Amino acid sequence: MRTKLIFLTIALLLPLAVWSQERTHSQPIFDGKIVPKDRAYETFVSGDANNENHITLFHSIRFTADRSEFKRVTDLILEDANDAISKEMEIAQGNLTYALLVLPSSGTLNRFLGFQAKPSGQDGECSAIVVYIEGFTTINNLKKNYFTGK
Amino acid sequence: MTQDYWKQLIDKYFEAETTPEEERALRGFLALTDDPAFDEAKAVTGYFSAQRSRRAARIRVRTLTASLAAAAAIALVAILGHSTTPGTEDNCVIYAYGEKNTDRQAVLDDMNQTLAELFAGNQGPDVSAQLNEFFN
Repeated sequence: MRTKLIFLTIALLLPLAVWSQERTHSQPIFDGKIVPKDRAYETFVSGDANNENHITLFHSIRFTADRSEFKRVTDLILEDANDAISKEMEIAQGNLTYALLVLPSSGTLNRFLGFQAKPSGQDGECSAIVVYIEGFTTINNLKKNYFTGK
Repeated sequence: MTQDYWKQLIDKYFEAETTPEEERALRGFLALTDDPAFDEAKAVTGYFSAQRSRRAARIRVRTLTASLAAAAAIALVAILGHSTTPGTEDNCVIYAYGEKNTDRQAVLDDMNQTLAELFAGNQGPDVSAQLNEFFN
């Protein structure tokens, strides 16, 4: 009987563990906990809105960050990079300026995280964008569909 | 109440004709009496009481087990449904510095532009030099 209860408790908690893995280390960025949302430009697309590209979820957030905020953002991106199946990254003077990560899949959905830093034109500030994508597409298809050949 | 009353009540108990109140009264009497005439009845009713307690405990455990199983099943189905169902509802929205825009085309255009910028990759030496200024 005790064994049954233990297995049932595990069965109850296991789905919570699965659910928590679907989140990324970068989630606080999207939650506005690094740069508040009133200073951010956020885009969210889900469902069949972008069915033709096989993207089921698109979530991006753009913001301008000071050095401290930028460091916190890139630290979180680098944590996700540690879990990534594949990664493309650019580092300048020890600072992350670009990342394209293929994250572990969630069920049948592929997951990707992108990061890009840009000059803001303001001293002591840098613009950045973080993008999270879920879908049945692949990284190669995304590149083929969106690479403009610059 | 006389000894005969209790003996009649015991006979009634063994014939399963006692009411719950009569059973409680009988158990209370048997718990207190030292009369050896009731020793046999005390032994038997004590066994049945133990059996009832164990049965009640088993029912409680079965109920708890069933509840936990149901909760686990519901949680598992909910989580699997959330993780594998690709966006059960269409949602297109921009939050521009706190202001909401649900113009579908505007949102999709923004998404496509963002992805084009992201997959353009390396931004060139001028951009890198400006970023270096920030990092210094």
